[in-house]
Amino acid sequence: MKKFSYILALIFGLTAGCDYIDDPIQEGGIGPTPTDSVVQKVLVEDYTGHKCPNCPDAATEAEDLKAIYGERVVVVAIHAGFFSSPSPGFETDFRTPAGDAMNTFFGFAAYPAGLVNRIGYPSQHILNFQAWPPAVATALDETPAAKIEVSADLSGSNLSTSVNIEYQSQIDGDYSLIVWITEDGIIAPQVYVGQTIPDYEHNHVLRTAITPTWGDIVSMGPVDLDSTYTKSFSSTWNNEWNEQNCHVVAFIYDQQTLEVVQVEEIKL
Amino acid sequence: MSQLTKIGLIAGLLISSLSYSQESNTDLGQIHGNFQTDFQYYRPDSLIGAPDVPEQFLLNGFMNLNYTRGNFSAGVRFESYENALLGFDPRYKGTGIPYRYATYSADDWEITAGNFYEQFGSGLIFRAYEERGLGFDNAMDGIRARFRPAPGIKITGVIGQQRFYFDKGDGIVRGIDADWNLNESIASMKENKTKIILGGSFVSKFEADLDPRYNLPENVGSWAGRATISKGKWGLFAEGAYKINDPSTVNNYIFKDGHAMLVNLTYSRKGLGILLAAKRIDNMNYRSDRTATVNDLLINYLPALTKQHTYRLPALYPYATQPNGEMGIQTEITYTIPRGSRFGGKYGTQIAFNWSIAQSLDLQNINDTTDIYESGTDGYTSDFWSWGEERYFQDINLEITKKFNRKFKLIGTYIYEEYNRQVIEGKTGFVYMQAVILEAQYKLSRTKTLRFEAQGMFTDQDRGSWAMLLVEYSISPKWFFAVQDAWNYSNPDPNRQIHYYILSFGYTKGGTRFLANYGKQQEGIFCVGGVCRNVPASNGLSVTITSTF
Repeated sequence: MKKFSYILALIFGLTAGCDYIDDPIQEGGIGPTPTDSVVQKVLVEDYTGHKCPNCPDAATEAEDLKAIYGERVVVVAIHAGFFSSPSPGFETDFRTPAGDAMNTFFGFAAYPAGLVNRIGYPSQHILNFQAWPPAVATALDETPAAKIEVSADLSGSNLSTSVNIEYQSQIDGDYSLIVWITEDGIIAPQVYVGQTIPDYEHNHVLRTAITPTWGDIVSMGPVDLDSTYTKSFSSTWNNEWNEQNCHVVAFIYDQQTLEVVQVEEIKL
Repeated sequence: MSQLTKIGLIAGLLISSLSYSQESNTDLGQIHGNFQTDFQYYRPDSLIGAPDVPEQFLLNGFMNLNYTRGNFSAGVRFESYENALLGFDPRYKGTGIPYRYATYSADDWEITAGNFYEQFGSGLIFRAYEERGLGFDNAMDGIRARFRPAPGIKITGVIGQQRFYFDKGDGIVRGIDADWNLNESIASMKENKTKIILGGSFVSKFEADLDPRYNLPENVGSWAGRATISKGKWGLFAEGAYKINDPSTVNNYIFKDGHAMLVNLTYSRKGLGILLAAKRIDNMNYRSDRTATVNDLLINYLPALTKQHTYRLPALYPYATQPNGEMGIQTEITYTIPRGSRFGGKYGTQIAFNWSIAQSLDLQNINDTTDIYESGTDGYTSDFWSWGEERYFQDINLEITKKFNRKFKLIGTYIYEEYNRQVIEGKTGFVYMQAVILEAQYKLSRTKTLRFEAQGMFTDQDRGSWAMLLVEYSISPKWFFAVQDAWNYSNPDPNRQIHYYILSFGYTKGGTRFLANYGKQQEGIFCVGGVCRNVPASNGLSVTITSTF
């Protein structure tokens, strides 16, 4: 009889496991934006292509997240893989060597899909766009381990970029910095569920990596909280890019886990 | 995985070292297992759409080792993907021990710690299983307890997380099932000709809500009840399931509850078998991660209720169950024309007729201002009995098997199929297909058999029509040789009217089998029981070695 009572207890325990929801929509649910000088930001990498039928939905999801979290969410659209190659009607080549290399390395096989702070590598990093909101919310909850400041100056065809990193907590590991240029407002055809939108606006498009694909080492071993780590770059500007619409994105990541620690974005 | 993998590996080594000393008198238990490796060498072939494989050759392999001694058993499965074959998810990467367990059973109870497979009823709310050919494995990792409090009563409780490639999903799955065999349990029913088995289960998943947009249920519960009643030649199985609000990626975050109903009626006597089956599935996508898609982290199993064709050409259009909603019916009649009659001949003639259909639900807006499937709402309403207008799938097929003498047998098959590519594969179009297949088997001697297949599949849609020939020669029990060519002769693109030929060779000795294929495989989808994976085109050599011990 004693066994029976255990089972009954188990059954009641389980039936309690039901959450009926009457108010599905959250109202002002995210709370106030932190007022601290250093806030955790999150990098959403949207792997996409101009011939990918569902990719505009992922772009919309990314914009929705920016609408909720503002500049705490940094979106980069990486055109790579099967749907990104140019072909008649889709002449623009949005691909980049860095994008191609990352696409292969991370093992994307279906699009749209993305990475949120590159969390979950090697087995749980690829997220379909519907999975981005909770992943972004979780990543934003982290205590910021670093502060990044970016400055950039374009003179003629030379772009000088400078990135200052101040660690905020005593972390230990090897950290690398990646710096990218992205461009908004590029009008070019895009497939969308069985049709082609001729004047689709492509935003946050990765144009080039200023650093090598996997970045430049910032620090190895225990970090020094009192110092500022500075990295400066000089790169050639491509005149086909509209500088009015360009951003510089800089982020540091842990070489062991590949997780992005902090990201910053400035308008050029 | 890492820590557990090490433990598993050590356990495996311990177990195998035990087995070497089996010859001594003390009972050290027994080891059994099986092993399989699939190796494929890929040649680039842009014409058939075979993707470039940088590694050039890929390998999938696994080995099961099970140890039993008295009431105790334990086992491990070693898996290797270096890298995963094309068509398998690339997240199967590397080598490890994703499956290990230990079970102890006594008179009326049994407990398992570690990984296990389990199914409640027909699986409408819970089924943990693996289908190696699909790369599907949602094994639980946790604890399972079984208990038989009285004759005819069996209670099973499970708790754990689900396998996700070489990792585990974050969600927790908990369930309990009771199975009650009335004839075994109630003395006065022991001799009763009507056999009744009743069952009921409850399953709940927990997953944290971190969504910034919606208030999501963190605990999603589901119930199912079932009955199996049989009397003489008749059998009836019915199961119904209910699930509370479970917004997910697959249902576009609607907060509607879910229902499923499955009914099977069978009649069988010598020479005649009749099956009538019906199902209604409404918003029953159930996963331990609400953002998971495709075949990831599924908690339940929804049967396809269609015939699974094994011939190569009609197998190109298999049905995949639609978890968001469908209604379906299947009928199967098998009849043997008695031997000695005009059409029965000396051995009797078997006729199998099968018809299945799957259709959408009849969806209605919940109110004037809300779209069907609008996120954050109840999504839609649908009348239980009325069918929707969209045809998902229909298959009418007839198979006649006639044995002429001891040596010669013919099987003729006709298939008519309607296949909604948009719904099943997510690609545009609707395919109407007819197929005719003639198979002949000729026994040359006691061990030597010649088998021949001619297949034609005719359609104006998709890739057009196909013709195929196969010749197979086997010397049992050891040797096997086959040549086949599937020709896509009416592909709308004349450059793609390709011959997909395959040469096969097999050798079996004891419990070990070696199989090699060389040739071209067309792109397609491969399904088992309504669960599918995409198979990309490939060109090259594949080798499979299987062994049991």
